[in-house]
Amino acid sequence: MAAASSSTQFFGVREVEEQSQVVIKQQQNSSTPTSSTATTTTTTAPKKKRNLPGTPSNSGSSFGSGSESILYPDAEVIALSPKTLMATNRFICEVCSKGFQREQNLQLHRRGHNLPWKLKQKSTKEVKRKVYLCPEPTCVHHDPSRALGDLTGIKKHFSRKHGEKKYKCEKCSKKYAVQSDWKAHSKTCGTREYRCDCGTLFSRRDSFITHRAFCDALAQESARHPSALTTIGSHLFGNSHINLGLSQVGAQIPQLHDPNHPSSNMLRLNNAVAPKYEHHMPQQSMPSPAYFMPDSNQSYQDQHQNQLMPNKPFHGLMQLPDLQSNASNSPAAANLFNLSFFSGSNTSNSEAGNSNNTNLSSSGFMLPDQFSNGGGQGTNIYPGDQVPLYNSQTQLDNLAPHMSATALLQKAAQMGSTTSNNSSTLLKGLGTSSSTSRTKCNRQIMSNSFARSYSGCAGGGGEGLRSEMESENQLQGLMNSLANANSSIFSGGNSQQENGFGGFSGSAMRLDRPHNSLNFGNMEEGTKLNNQNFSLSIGGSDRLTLDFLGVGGGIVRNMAGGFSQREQQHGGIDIGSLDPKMDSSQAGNVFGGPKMQ
Amino acid sequence: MMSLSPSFGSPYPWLKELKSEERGLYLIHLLLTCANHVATGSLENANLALDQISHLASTDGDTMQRIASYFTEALANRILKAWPGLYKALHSTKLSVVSDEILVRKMFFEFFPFLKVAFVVTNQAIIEAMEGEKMVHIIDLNAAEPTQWRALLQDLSARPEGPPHLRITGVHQVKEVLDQMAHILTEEAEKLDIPFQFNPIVSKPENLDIEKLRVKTGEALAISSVLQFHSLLAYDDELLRKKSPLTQMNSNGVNLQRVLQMNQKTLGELLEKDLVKGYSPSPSHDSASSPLSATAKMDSFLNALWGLSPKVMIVAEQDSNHNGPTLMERLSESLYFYAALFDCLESTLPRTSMERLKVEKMLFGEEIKNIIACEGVERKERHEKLEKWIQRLDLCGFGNVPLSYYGMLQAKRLLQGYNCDGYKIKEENGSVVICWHDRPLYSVSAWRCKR
Repeated sequence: MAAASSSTQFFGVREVEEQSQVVIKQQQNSSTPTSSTATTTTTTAPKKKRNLPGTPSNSGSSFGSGSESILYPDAEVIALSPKTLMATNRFICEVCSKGFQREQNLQLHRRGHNLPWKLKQKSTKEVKRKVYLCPEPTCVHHDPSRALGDLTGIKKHFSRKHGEKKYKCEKCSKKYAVQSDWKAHSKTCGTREYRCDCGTLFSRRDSFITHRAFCDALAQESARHPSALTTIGSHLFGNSHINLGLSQVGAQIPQLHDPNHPSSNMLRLNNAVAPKYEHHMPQQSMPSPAYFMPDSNQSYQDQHQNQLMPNKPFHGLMQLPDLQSNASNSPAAANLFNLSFFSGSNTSNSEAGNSNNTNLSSSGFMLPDQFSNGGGQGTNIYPGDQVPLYNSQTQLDNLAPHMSATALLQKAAQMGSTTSNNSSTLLKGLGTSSSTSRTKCNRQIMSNSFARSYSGCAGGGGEGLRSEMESENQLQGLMNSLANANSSIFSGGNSQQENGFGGFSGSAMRLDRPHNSLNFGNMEEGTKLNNQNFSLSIGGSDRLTLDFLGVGGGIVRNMAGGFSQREQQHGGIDIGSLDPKMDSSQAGNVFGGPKMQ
Repeated sequence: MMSLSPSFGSPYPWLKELKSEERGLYLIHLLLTCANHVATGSLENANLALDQISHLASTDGDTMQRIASYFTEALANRILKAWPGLYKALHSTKLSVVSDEILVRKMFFEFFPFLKVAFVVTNQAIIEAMEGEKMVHIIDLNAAEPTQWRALLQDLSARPEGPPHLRITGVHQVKEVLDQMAHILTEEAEKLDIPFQFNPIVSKPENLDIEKLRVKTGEALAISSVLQFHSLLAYDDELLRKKSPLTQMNSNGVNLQRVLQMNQKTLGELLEKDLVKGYSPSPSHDSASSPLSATAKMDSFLNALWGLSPKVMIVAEQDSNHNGPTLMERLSESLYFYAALFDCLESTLPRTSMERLKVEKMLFGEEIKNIIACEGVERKERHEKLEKWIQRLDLCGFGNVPLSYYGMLQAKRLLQGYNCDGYKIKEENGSVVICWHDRPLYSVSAWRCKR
């Protein structure tokens, strides 16, 4: 580890053209990079993981201290392209065109032709250990920490796991990707055969026994409880009985992946412990705060999609780009992301000194979901008949698969409606976030959207029982109920309380003053307001039901009423424009701005 | 499902027009609002919220509608317990058919990979721990599923050093289940020519008499507990309450229920006195905040098991904290947990499936009801996170045994066989956590006695 003392974490990536190899030197800068050098920054969040051959390093410390906690700390990590891996005979004899897998073999062969040949000498020093990455980005062995120890191994691995199964056993039709596997199987196929009563055939005793144990017993059970088992196969390892509800999702996953892994020739090389989103970073080195820069929105989303990929709803939402011009193809994803991610990273943001920008971008980030509807479709928000929040989704609902309960809960959590003290992971992000204006801003938006979803519901219902209450109270009551619903969250009794309610009270404000949350000059005022609102929501809990009953008046009047009421209570707050059209367009401009251009 | 609505037909026609997602979000909102009202005791408001929910929820709708049905039922039950007369009258004719319960558990075994993974991992850990042992005794604290032990018999018979003398002690509260298990296993053992003995104990684990286990010296002992330990936590806040009546919750119904449960309670106390032995629970118990301190019953049980010095003990538990002190905590945590389980079913079975409905209603629905509506002794579904169990078992003298690579591998292969993307296996502190997407659902861990 010659250059081990340097603590920056760069990998020189050198492309060896003729072999289409990409070699990562873990000693950065030790080899002079060739012209095609690209350096990748890896921010390494320490993460416990098994260190296998070729872990370049877990963190800066192992570079610096030279601590030998890893198995082969100085192993050379080699990434081969799929083509190279699959190439059977890369070394061709110019005389007889015979191909060889190894250069050494070609050289030996050339000796037969009486051509000049040269065997590589064993290097004088100890051979540097090489480890190999699987080029398939989704594979665990794509990660340097899980690199495989030998070339044959990685080739076989790649064929077996990601390659086509070309070799078919004539007897049992089992297919193999690696010829030697097929050969080994062919030798034994049919010689030893285990057939289960259920008709499954096994060539290996152990798998037969495992299968049999469950299969048998279940068969017996099913005789006893036929009803329980009719629809479900009686195999423990039953492949068949899980329906393909997710298959649609699966089909769409590649789409999500594509931008992240644009080509298989150009391999992404990630540090073992780099956070996931490192995957999606541009290739130049970037200081870590840059992750939070507005212009890297795309990567947030990508990351997000990666994590949440399997959730059906996003795919429904994926189809929104029609409505929203650019890459913000997954608004819900963005939302969720914003919540868990930004709240966690607020501190670094402010250190980076770009708090306002970041904040703007983050809030803009959230918008497409809630605002672009309004922004794009003008007055649609307010008219009473239509449910405003999910305009686009409403249209898509027929196409989109049903949203899973888990996803709904997550969505509700981002919107700030789900209670949960510190237990829910999503809200934990909120709970731990510093109580800066930015947090508030985010929350306001989130809660705003939530509020709107309900005011939307309210708008939809023409015939609520509103005899018991004045229509003016409706919206406010709704807000109260929101705040109240959340009072238990924050009753954990920390300094978050104010903030939390800031979010919710703000939501009421934000409905007609989208610029407010961006206007940090208003913070003081906002906070005061929040306090008031907080006490109000608690005190007003008796009236809570009213809003449920009232959830149904003419929405335009409600809104106006609600706000005027608020105005009275908090006097002196400039409600600004109550004109719905103007608001929505404003929303579109302000929030859509960063995203939509 | 139950409906508290006094009126017929929906006064909110617009609710019907909500799309699935909106409805889901609205339901979540309503549920939380309702729970808040229930928690604060404002029943009028809770009632109104329940009424609203009743227009949206449905036991055969989408997942959120289904979940909402069971959660509202649970909340309503909680309210109702404030009027014990009403509550009892409404439940007086309730038939609890044991065979149904067993059937439902069977379906849970069928439809989900959780128990299968637990069994595979358990067997592997036992095989590894019992290598070279001639006398093996296995205690199954939830002897409902013979499948697992059949597989073990077969594995043992294939052992290079030959099969051991095997004894399995099955603990279950239904005698028929044990009989059936004895029958299947004895038959299998005969077929494989393994010396085998089955020792049935008809009892709940919490009332288990350790003496009846008949653990002999010289035999190697393995203990398997699948989803059993958490119910042992049920006695604890009982003790707590006695110490500090101030922590008493609002509803009187709970009190009365407890009187009904008197017999059980005294039994439990007897057990405690028996088992406590040098482990003094008293001083730390005043701090109601730390759930770990409130575990006298659990601790004594674990200590008793520890006293048997098992070579290995495998524990499977729900990996979610449904044992929070407040209703809202439990509600939101269990909402996530059961949402994931309901989603599993959604991806597995059609919405019209009777089996699915049964599992949801009779298994999950009952669990939800227990978590939400019950307190004290009655509240048995006190699921806790793996880290809590690790702490607790550690305090009771058990050391974690990391699961072997092969065990993990088998678990993974089993899940792969499901061909369903949602199920994931996570390795955590040498234990297996089975997840639905990112949500941990069940954990399996292995333990040995620390000396």
